[in-house]
Amino acid sequence: MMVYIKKLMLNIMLPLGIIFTFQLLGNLINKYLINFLPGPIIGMLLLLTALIFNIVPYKIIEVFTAFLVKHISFFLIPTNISLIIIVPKIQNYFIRIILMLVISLISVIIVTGTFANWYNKKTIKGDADE
Amino acid sequence: MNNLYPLLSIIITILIYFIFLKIYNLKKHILLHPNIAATIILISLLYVTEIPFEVYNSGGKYITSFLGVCIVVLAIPMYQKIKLLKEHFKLIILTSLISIYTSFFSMLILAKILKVPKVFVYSLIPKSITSAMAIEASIFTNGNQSIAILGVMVSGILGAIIGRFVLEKIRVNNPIARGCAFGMSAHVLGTTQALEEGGITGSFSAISIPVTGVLTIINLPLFTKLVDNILK
Repeated sequence: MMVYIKKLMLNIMLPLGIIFTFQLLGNLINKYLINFLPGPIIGMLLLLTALIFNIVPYKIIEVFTAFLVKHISFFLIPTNISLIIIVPKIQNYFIRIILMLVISLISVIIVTGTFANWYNKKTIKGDADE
Repeated sequence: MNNLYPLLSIIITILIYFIFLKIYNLKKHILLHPNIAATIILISLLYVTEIPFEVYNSGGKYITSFLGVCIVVLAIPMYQKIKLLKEHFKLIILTSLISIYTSFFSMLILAKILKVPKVFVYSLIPKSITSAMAIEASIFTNGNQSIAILGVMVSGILGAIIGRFVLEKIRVNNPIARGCAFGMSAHVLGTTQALEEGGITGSFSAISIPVTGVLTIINLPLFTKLVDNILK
């Protein structure tokens, strides 16, 4: 029984505690220092830094975060469902908004694809010249 | 009776999510992606049974409260791909910036032409980033979270469906370029398509998601100022 509790603490509680700590840190920094970045984003960048410099060993949080990352879309479902109240309210603009999104999306794919393609060719050519 | 609703809505959400997760593992069609399919099913369910959104959300809000955690754990995929990011740092950052500015200015111009009020544009700026970050961004710009979700979902679904076709038309064959285009235009849903094309395309698409998200959010103060000055 004790072994089981210890395992549970190590695999779930500890990683969750670490993630909450970073979220809290992010929110505090957002409140008192950098207010142009949302708290969770600061928390994410801090966690990334901590992982890179091995302040938080990746091994400790690996299993639990892999599970969370895999199921992120679950936590978004209730917000997605709020579409049910907003779509009837924006009826007059709905078609225009969709049109905007479609045209903008296609231009982003074209520009991004073309640029990355060109940049990649350029750097490969540059390497060959050297 | 009243305090049963929150638990019931959480249980139903979990149930439907896992059913579609299983179905999606069998057949990887974009409309069967648990995020999309569960949303469609639940919305139809609420619509048919005429249960108000508020009742559903009495339980749903507990699920939503984990959004911050979801953003923090996005550090993990970034950490796993840190080598790739270091190797192609200039390419990824430059391409991401270009995609963000293309996305923003195309929206701004279209909004001006189509006379869309700026309230909508505020919420639609983060349309190409992953939902969790887009919600955070829309709070920052004083936009509406639901409209932000609308933008993110339309971009994601459409990008995943037409992405390959558009890239073929403009003859972009390089896997790195294709990966960037998928991840930077259609976030997670685009990445599901990129992963089918192969390892390199998938990796670049996956690393594009957090990079584009963070860079979009850093650019938000500039974008909101521009919207304020140009649109009425």
